[in-house]
Amino acid sequence: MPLLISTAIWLYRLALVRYSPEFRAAWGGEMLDAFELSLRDAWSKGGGSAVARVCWNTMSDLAKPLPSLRVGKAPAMRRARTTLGGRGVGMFEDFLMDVRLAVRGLFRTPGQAGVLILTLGLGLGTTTAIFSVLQGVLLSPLPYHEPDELISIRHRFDVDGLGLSGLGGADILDYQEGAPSIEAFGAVQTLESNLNDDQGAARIKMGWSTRDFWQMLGTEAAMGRVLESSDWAGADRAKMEDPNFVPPPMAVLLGHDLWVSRFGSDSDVLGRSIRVNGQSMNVIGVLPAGFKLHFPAGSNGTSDIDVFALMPVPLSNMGRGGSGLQTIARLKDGATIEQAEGELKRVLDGLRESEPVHARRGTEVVVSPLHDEVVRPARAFLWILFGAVGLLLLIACTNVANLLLVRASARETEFAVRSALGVGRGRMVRQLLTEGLVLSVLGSATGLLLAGWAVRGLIALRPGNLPRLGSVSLDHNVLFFSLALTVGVSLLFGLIPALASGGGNPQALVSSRGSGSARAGTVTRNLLIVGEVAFSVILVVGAGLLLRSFSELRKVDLGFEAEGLLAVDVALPFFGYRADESRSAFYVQLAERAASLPGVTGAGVTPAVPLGAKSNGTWLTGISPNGEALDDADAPQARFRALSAGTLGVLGANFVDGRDLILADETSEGPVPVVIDRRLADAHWPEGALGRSFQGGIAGYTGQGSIQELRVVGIVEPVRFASASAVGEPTVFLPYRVYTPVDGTLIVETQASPAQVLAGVREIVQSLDPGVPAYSVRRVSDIVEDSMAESRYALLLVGVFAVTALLLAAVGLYGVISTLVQQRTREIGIRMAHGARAGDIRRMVLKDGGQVVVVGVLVGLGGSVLMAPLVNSLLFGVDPVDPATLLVTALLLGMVAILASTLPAQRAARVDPVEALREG
Amino acid sequence: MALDETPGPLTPAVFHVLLALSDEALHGYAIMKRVETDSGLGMGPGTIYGSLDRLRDAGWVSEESSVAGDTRRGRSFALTTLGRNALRAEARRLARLAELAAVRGAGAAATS
Repeated sequence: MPLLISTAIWLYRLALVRYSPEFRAAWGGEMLDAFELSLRDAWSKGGGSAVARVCWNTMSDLAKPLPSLRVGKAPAMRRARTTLGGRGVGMFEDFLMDVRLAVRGLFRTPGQAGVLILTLGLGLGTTTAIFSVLQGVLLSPLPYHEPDELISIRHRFDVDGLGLSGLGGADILDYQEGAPSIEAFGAVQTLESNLNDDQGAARIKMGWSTRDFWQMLGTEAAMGRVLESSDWAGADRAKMEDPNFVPPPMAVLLGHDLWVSRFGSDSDVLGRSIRVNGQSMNVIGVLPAGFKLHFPAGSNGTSDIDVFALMPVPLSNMGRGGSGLQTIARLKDGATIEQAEGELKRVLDGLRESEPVHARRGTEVVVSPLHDEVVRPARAFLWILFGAVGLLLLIACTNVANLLLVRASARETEFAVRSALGVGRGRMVRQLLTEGLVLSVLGSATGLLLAGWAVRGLIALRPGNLPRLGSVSLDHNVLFFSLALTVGVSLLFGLIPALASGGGNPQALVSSRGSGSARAGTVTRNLLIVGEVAFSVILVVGAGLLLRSFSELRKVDLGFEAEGLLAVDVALPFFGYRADESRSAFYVQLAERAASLPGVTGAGVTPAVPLGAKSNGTWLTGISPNGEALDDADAPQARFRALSAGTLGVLGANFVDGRDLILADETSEGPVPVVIDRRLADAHWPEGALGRSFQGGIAGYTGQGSIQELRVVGIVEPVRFASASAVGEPTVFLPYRVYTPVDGTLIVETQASPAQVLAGVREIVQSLDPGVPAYSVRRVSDIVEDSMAESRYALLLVGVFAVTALLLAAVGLYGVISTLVQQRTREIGIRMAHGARAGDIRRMVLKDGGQVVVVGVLVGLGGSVLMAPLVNSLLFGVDPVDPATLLVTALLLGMVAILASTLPAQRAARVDPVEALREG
Repeated sequence: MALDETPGPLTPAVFHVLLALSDEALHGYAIMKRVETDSGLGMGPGTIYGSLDRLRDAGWVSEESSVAGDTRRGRSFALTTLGRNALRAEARRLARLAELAAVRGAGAAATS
């Protein structure tokens, strides 16, 4: 409401130009005060309706001339002149008269006025709502210091299925050295972590940043200070991984949300000591409310980090190639992104010579403006939505224009009288323009109200992975957009009837029923209907394609059965479980004991649930099915994923051959038993993969992740872990002991309720280690649904637009055909008098309407085919030019058209020839 | 201070503003509220301040420096003798008309 009040005051301030400068100088300030006071009084006493009444009173007050002391003759004269549109009263009073006439004329037929304003409000409101999302997500700059200087730097590898990745730590150091046009680099790695305090254990997201990351970003703390390089308290990798090493306390920066939820917004939090992952840390600052780390799409959940600290391990220890180090950089003043890209490429050319991992993977560096990368996943989607809503606005406008045309032809007599009395054509066109303006102002006020609700709804629907939803609001940019739309639309509405009506031809009055200009109006109206039908076709085709695409997506064989599965997230603190065996022992025990919970028929552990947002806890490495050297550039690649015994069975994966992993595999001697993806088997051992041995792992590593001898014990159909729409990299499933990340997801097959299962799992976790949280439980089927959220969101919105478009088209068509019938009553009467039967008349009306609709449908189908490439990015498994969808749409529009014209056709058929001829 | 020479009825806006000011000095928004409680008329800022502008020019109201106990910014206005006379004359005119209406069987007196 305060927004509405301040908007109203702002508008009133503008409207004050209506008074003379002297008057404004003398009274303007107090008038604004008085208006504001009455708005606030009304709001506190009577709410929205009282505010509306005050606004209405003030509007009509603006339209009145200033009162004089005594009632005299001059005002009456002036009133008569302005009512008839005479001259010499002054531009502004003319305008106010026009406004008053327009408002009065509009509400003379309240039903029609309601339809007009609502139609327009619907169009303007939805457009404004989608624009506000577009503006907040895509157009507004990132909330950092000089955001245009920030760039994103990532690696891409010449390996199938391996997407963009963060940089290796050692690579960053080399880039820093060789790229003088870059002022500073910064990188963040996220890790789910455990916060322990007197309230127990909690799951938080920890962001490990490089040392001068915060200075590069230019963000200030809301309280205390941000991290700086002197806060570093780490050690090199070997020391950090030594179980006996106790690192010194680290400085941490709290996110605002965590400070509120966990520390009760306590201002004494600075200097307090907290424990994260068993490591003690001192709070040195709190970030501002609403601060978010906007990183390129796909950077594992960088957006809602709870606690930041400096990375304890030096970059030089953090490998090469790809990693979770999401890297951004700030360009020097005046440096261009092309310069920076050139320098980075030169550095990488050198690295491909010296570093085998870059040579093997054919690394390339991908540099782009940070803003582009952050909004990339939303861009096509939002522009398509904006296009769709734009079409809806066009349809709404067409409808309104049509209704106005009908009104204009009904008012020909009025205009003819005024013209005969000497009112100029210009003056009358101006009045029509004013009527358009009044209509669009009322429509856009309705629209803003609708947009307010719609924006809240759009955000509440939580459209999957749309970034930056927090910055969506009806701000001044949106209001300005809405204002511009209103002016544009009002011009359209004023001009169309003004041009079509011929500005009032006295001749029309003489010839009683002005049939001549009615023909001209009919042509315009038919064109409008063609446009309206065509736009509806495009929207309906779009909705149809999205519907088909969504159903295709749901039909995909995911390689697992989500029904009846629950996922519980668990994670170990790194510092308590630095020994590999301790982690795998924990998870293997957890799975085993969870399987014997009451009501549970099976349980398994894997680093991350299929189709969950997390994709961490797996690694991509070379394999040597035919004795290739693992660091050879041509060595095949596969993703390694740890699974506890029986997990594939719990997931319901389809075994082609062999068996699932069993408990004994965690302790067996000799080559490690593994289950492989059918694609690996087909590619490397077409003659039969069972029992084959091969090598996999990373050269030069010790402990987990090092090169292992593996032996195939089972083959499964591909399981879609990363995305429902893509099959992903070939996968090798290994026992937990080979590679055990700290994160784990317990997958439970059960008919019991989630709460019951969570309680049981918590008990087990407590007995294994009271410091470890089991923090969330979800149905796997919900996770699968969530992974399709974007498709569903697009489908829902475009579907709603399409249905609205169909309704509007039906209303428009109905309006036009009934007007046509009305105008042709006399002709129909003559036809009937000459022997035409009711059926002939009905057919004639249907045919006239039908021709227009057929043209509209054809134009629309053509338009959809032209637009096909634009929507392709949102589609899955459907050709953007889909004959079935096009056909169904054409039939649907045909049905709507028949429905809309049946009623007027019936009415035409019931015309009484005697009545019709007498009236004519 | 112009002279009011033309006789004739006051405009309703001016009459209501004078009436609102008849027993105390008020500022613009208070006049607006007072008119509303007096007669149920919702007068906008343009009408109120437009009337005040004319009334001040005619010398019917004068600006007061401040009203005790009121901290709102903005000027207060009070009736001058001239204004009080004009209000009285208009009230008499209206009373006469009301009486006439009653005599002819359309007023409050006739129904009682």
